[in-house]
Amino acid sequence: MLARDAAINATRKDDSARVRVLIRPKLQVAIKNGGKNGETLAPLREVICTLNDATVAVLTAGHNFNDSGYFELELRGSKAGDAFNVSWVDVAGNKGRGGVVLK
Amino acid sequence: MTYLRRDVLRLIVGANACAIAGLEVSEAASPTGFDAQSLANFFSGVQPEESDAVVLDLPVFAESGSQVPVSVSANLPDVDSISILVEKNAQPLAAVLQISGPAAPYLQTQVHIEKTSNVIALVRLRNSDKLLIAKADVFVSSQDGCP
Repeated sequence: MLARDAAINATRKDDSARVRVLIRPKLQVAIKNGGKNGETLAPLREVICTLNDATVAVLTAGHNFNDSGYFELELRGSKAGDAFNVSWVDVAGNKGRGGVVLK
Repeated sequence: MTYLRRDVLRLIVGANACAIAGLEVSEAASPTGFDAQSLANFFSGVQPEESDAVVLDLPVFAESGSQVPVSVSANLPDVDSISILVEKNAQPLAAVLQISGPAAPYLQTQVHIEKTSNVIALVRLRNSDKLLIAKADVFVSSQDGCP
């Protein structure tokens, strides 16, 4: 099992928030953290991003998307206390989710 | 932490397989990349137009193509989706971001680029069939793109 499903960092300034999402650590990180024999990670297929339970973005990852599932979005009109969540699925059908409350 | 001998062998074999497979696929597919017509075919017959409103930011040189940072933003209202394509990759489409509500037309990520190529940012507007694009070259030193 990997160390974490998703890491999310949100920086809010005025009414705009930059949200950085890292879906999974890379294979090397999995080995370093004691992953089972460096198991192969299936490529990411889709990430659904929601703000307060309303879908704001859907990212479909192609073959050339980065291994660590990193991307950054900008949310306008956001305020402190808003809940940003991601749920992802990879090509093997593995699913995960993560979230952060904007400060 | 200790590595087993079989772990090291598995990594070496995997890296070599990646290099060989990457070479074969990239030589077999899209040797010349996209022209305007093939882009139009890719997006169901709609002819894309180059626009200054689409801003594509990426480095001119990349030592390794395994993870090249790419940033796309659009100074336009009613953006439906942002796509990133790498022209000379065997599978050009790297990512598609569909946005709605408070999400701004902005995407920053990292993509895998197999060899020196054009990168295309493609923006689809919500209430029209217009496709707006921005292009930029990136020179990749590592030919196979394997990390």
